[in-house]
Amino acid sequence: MSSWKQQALIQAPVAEVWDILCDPARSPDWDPDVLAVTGAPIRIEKGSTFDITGRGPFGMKATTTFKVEELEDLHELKMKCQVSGFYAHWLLTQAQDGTFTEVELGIEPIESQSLRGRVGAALHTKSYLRTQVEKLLDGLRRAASRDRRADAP
Amino acid sequence: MEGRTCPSCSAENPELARFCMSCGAELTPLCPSCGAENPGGAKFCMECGAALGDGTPAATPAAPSPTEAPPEERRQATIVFADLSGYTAAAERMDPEAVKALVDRTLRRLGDVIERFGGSIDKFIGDNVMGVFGAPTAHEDDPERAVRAGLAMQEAMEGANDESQENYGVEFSLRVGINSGEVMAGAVGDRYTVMGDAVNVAARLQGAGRPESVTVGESTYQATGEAISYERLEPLTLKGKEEPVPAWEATGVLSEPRRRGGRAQTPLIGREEEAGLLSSLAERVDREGRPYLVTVIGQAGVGKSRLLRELMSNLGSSADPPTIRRGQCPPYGSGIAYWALAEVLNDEFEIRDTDTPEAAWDKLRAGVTQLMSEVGDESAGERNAALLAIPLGLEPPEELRPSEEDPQRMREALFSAARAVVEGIARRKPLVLAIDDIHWADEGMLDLIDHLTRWVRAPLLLVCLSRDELLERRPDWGGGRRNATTISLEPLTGEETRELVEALLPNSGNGAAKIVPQVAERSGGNPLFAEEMVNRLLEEDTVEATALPSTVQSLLAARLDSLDRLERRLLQSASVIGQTFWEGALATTATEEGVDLDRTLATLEEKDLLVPSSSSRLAGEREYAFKHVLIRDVAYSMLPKSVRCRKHVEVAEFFRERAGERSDGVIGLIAEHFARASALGSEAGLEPDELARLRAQALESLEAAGDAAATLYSNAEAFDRYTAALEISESLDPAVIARIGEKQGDVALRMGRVDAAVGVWERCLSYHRSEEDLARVADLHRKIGAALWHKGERRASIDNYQRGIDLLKDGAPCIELVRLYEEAASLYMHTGDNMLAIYASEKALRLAERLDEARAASRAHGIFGRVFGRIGDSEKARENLERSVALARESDRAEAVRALLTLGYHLEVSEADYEGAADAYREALEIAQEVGDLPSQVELHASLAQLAVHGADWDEVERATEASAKLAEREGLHGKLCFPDLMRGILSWRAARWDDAIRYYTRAHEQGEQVGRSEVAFSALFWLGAALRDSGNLAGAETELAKALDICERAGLIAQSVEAISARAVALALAGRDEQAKAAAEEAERLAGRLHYPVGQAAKAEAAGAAAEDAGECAAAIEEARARWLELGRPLDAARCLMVRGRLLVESDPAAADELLDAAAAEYEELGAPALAERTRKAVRS
Repeated sequence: MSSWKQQALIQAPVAEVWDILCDPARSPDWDPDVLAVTGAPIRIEKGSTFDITGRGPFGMKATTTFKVEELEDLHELKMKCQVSGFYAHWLLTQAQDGTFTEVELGIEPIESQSLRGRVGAALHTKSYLRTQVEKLLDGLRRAASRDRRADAP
Repeated sequence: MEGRTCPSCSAENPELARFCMSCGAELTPLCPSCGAENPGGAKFCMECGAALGDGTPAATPAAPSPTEAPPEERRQATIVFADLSGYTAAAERMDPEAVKALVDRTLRRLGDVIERFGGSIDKFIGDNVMGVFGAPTAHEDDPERAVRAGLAMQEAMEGANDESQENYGVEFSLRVGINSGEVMAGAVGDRYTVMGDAVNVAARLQGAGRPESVTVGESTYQATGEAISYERLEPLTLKGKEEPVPAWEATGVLSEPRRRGGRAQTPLIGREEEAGLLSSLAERVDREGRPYLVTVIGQAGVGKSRLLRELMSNLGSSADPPTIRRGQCPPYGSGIAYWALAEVLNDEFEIRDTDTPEAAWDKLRAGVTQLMSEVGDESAGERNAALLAIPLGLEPPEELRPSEEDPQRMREALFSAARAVVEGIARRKPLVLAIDDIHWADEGMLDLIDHLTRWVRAPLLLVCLSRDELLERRPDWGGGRRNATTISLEPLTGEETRELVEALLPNSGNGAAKIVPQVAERSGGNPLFAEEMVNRLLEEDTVEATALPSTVQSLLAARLDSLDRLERRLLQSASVIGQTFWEGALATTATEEGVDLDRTLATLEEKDLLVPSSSSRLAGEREYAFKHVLIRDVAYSMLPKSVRCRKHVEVAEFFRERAGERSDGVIGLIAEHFARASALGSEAGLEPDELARLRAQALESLEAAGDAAATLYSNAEAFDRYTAALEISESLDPAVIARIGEKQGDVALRMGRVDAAVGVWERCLSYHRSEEDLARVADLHRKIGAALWHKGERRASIDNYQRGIDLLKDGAPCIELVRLYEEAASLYMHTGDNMLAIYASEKALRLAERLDEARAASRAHGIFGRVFGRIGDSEKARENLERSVALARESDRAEAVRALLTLGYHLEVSEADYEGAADAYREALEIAQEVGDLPSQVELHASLAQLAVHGADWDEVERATEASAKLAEREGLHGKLCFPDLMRGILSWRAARWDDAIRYYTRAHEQGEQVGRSEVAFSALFWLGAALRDSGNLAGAETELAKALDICERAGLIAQSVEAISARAVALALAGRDEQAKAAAEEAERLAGRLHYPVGQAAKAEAAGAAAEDAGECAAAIEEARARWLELGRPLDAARCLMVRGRLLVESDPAAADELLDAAAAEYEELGAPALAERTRKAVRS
């Protein structure tokens, strides 16, 4: 099963970065491959589920259900697609005035995976995941920067 | 003359009267030996066994004066028990009074035999007589005398039986038991006697033996085996002994008993070859201007010191004698760190112990500075003096005190300073450094000798004398080196020994003919033994010697017994101080005993037992040494433990008083004496209060000595001190045990004894837990964690850090918590867990800022900088590293070196800011030189050399490489050799010496891996790839670059990975593996696009050009790469671009290829790399 992990320093406090991550409805603003999010609670918690419509490998558009599998306030968030096993695992920690951020994207086996799910999983190559990680970190960085500009007096 | 009062009529009689002049009653005889009164009719003194006879004083030289009881002493003695049996049968036939008279006569007859052989009667008990050989006066052959006496007693018994059979029709049988060993001798009540296990065993042997036999124990048998014939018995089961005791029955005498005498100067015999070798080595050292170590090894007394005296004499009488300095390692094991070095320095700079600390420091500073200025390094004068002040127990002024806290670096700095000074002395004129008794040297001193032998660059002959034990500690001492020799001194041959004895016995006439072979045989080729035997013969002014010593112990004991009582007391007191001692240290003894100190020392000198030193470490004090340590050992062994205990305290207090403020220099010595006093006091059953006081003193000084040794990185020494302290403190305050235990753990870890360290700390943990001292508990968890990390037990290490953090995190900020986070951050960073490294660093930084701990904050910023650099955030990396430098500058200059090095590396590798990097390196180098941080200097010189390579400044590359290599080699910094080796590889590459380049790179890679310097290991493989590529081995180049990339991945060297992937792409392209080259180039492109390292931009353009399918694309990309390389100030890389493009066109467009290769060659030529130019031109021609 493929995975790719990368770290970056985001110039925003942990709380701000955390707010962005934990608001699935804002995902389309900073994740270029997320087109829409439906059914997300205002405040997610461990076990929350919601649907994401987005572009996958080769630009394939699909709507799948994600579930929050791990959540530790201001530190850890893991969400997994219940169809393909694709997951995003975020870790945050304060680093001086910013947030040291680690994200791992990957595929994990899931029970009773459908054919569609198996195909989807197979398309998440390491190269694809690596590109996605970079996009996500860039997007998160921009979103945090926008928020700070917007909050500036 | 005093009169004697008659016990019967009270009339006064002359002293020598045996019967009263008035009433004729028998007067109680006075012993001429010890003065004790004896019952009338006694033939032998009840106190000392001396014959009372007619009142003539006994001839025994060591007999105490009539007014002095023999001193209490521990002595080697042989005890004889003789028991009459058959007593019951006689009692049946004879009147009891007649039986008593017969037994009495028989026992006295047996007693006569004992005395005839030089023994003394200890007591008569019933039908038993006990005799002692060796107390109060020793002979060299007491065991042999005792057995001979036993056999003679059996003969005498036969005669006595003949008479009693004839007169009374009865006879007795006699059983004799003999045993040798240490006894306590002295007065019990008003009677002199001996006590000890050896006495009990002798009595038991007698009881277990068969009638008419002489049964001996093992020690007696061992001492007499060559003179007496024996039959071995089945081991005897003796009362009070758990195990059966080996026993022998004496069956006869193999040779006649002999006696002794003594005095002479030892000529050099049988050592001419060794003396010649030493002289020739001294000449060679002078001629070649290089150091040479010669170790003279041999058993005690075999002639090592005599050989050295010969060398000194020869050198001293030469036309241009060398400088000679001597040091001696004291006999207290590894007790005194660098003592011999201190002796040499005191001698060289004329420092006396009575100098005030300021005066001593001034002498040291002036002397060292003068030496340093003579060798053109005046700036190092004060710094080196400050380092050398440590073993001298001096404290330099505050501003000069070494700031280094790492003991290993401290030791390296000390060694360097010692080397510089020794080199300075030797450059004035050849230096002979003689170090005596190095088998007693501490580990640090041995390492220093080794260091001097390796790294001094001046004519230095190191002559070390040692007993064989050295080779048990250091089996490879001096081995495997061209400039080292070991001279092993064997005992003299029989012929040589006879020649020696003859030379020692001048004008002895015919008597010598008899004595010489006896002495020669008994001495076993040991010149000291022979000399001592002869001395004894000469002292007695006789050649009618009938006895010779069977062991040197009894020989020397006999020699000591031959001295005047006060002389012997003084010698015994001196033996407590050590092999070398000072007059003042004997003042207390002299006062107590009423000794005229000057006169007695002069007498002992005349008697050749003491040797005055030409100079003294204690000003105003005459210094003496025992002529041989064996004399000292025997004198010491004779003192009762309670006396030794008291005298060790006196000696310790003497040293402490004399050292005053400079007690650090002799703290090991003080500790040794207090510790011995404490141990002896315990064994001797001192009063509890007194013992407790003694233990407290011993504990305090041992801990201080451990601290002093730990500061000098004499870890084994420190460990032993703390261990000794803990042994003493077992019954003391548990807080003290915990405090010392923690220090012991610290040094155990430094010694690599991780389990021992953890074990000690775990015990300390228990105590601090019980005291609820959370800070100490947490700090111990940190130490245990760090120790386990040494073992690679990452999980357990983290668990310990976590436990410590959990204890403190909710409390007030404290330095212990900062350190825990700091250690954890460092562990996480090294294991590549950047997230946790940042988390822990953040915590450490916040706390450090609150506590105003600049050093801790600097380290935290350093970790931030390194992690940010790893993830490609150069800006934040630089910001943190600069902050780290600023904080380090505020806190600690040694810390600043580390911070600047890290910053420089970041600027060089991540930002290609070569000027900024050079500034950081230069500043770091300057500070490193100021504070004497040698390892960093090696690294910094190499770093500057590396920067110079970028600009093709070859003179600077060579200069800096040479400086780095010289320092690493001179200082024995083997772990740092990877830095200069890498640079030597690059210089070899420049000269197209491929084999050399490969050798250096391979070595640098291996060393870098060994010492955990992944950056160096990477660079070595990267450059190895370049050398293989340029030499035409493209497959090899690709393999090595792949390995370099593995290191990048493993160690998180992201910045370097772009350059390595690009280089691999180029190698693949040159090898015609187009698809792989293209994939590698794309990988480089992608990485460079994300990470924005300037070098990565140039490298990925070069890779893109090499992998391009289209010639036009290739040309464009290569040109872009060239432009970027030139912009970065790396013209050699730009020239390589031409070469790469030319090689790629060789087949498709030979003309263009030739043109490009010509251009590349021209650029190489211009850049001072003609060999690379020639190599490139060869490609044109081929």
